[in-house]
Amino acid sequence: MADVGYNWLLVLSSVFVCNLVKTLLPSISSLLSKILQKDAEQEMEMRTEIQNMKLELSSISMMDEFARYARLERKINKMTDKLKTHVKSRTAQQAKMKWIVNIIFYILQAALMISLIWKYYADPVTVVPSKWISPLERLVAFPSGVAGGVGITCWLVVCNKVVAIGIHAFS
Amino acid sequence: MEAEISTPEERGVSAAQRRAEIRRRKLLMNSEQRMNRIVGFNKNDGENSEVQRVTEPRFHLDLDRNECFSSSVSTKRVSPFVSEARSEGSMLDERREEEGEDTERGVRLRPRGETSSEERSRSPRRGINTYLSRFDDAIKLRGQLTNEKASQESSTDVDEFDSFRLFRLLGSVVLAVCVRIFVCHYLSIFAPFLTLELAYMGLYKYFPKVDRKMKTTVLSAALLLSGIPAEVISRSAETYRTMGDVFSDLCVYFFTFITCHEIITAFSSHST
Repeated sequence: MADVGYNWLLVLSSVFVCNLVKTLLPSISSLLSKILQKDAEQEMEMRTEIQNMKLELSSISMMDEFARYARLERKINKMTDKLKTHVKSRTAQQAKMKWIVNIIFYILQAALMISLIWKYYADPVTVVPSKWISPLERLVAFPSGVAGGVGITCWLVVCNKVVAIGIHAFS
Repeated sequence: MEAEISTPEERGVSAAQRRAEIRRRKLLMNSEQRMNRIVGFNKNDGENSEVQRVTEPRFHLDLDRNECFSSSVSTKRVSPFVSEARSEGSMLDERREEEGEDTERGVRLRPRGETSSEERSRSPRRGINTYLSRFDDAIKLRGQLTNEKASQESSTDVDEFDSFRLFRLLGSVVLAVCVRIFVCHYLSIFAPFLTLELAYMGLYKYFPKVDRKMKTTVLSAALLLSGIPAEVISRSAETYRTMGDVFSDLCVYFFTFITCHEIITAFSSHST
């Protein structure tokens, strides 16, 4: 009986965790891509270098020192192109990472849900007097078939909805 | 001395300008003839208006016949007749505006009864008109969709939790607690919930109406394009949304009830 008493909480907590992770998926994927990316420092160096060169360019008079000005400008252009290529590859890598994280999450979520349904297929999550939920007791008890029981599917749907509303309200 | 030098230059320039003007007029005349052929005017018509041709340039006639080629074409040309052409153009703009008023009433195809006898006689002109009106419609629809998209992206789900929605959810929670404590021993838990929903339906009008934007889905776009009126689509979307709200209320109510029941059971078992 004690086991039956806490089943509803177990299902609720797993649904809550799933929804929370789902909300945090973009942050997780960006964090992972940051960790896995090795040449982030190089990019920062390039950015600072370009900024320095631009500052230097603004201090040079184009009329007086045209050759130097042109040389520096060419250098800046070259560096900018390099940075663009770098950023493009990084963005592609990030998108790939996001895709992989999403796939992994959905696979894990599906596995968790299937295992929960498998475990509580015959047993109700919780039991109330059948008179209380009277015209819909069969629907609520599905698939356990216990009179007055709350089935796993019904409880999963209810928990998902409530947790989604709660997370949306607090976010 | 300078005057002597400048005078032949001016003469040369003026002669060149004159030649250019003659060439331009010739081209315009040819273009009008070509347009006449396309539109389907007889040569006799052209010959009847021969006297007018001597006094007036073809340019105006061209514009008059092809009013749908908007006045921008005429205004771009720098010619001594620009002012006249502009006045023609403004008239044409007015006509276009009148047509635009028709098109603004919604995406529609003009019924055949609306077309005048003159328009019926000139089928190419009517075709151009139809094409332009459809083009206008398409441009408007595109603009509308772009605006909707931008507004949806900027304010996603902001208006989802309006005061009435919040009131509904709180009411469901309170009712579930009350039902668990007082009512459930006597009747089913769904009876008070249905009463509450009926009360919400009555109370709906006393809350400030939040203008919920209709989401442009693929389904709604497909229904709109297939000829179903926007009013019907918006009504069905409203019904769907109401059903969703009722389902949310039911979920919150049932969840609160079960949680309450479990807490009470746990406390009672501990006390015993």
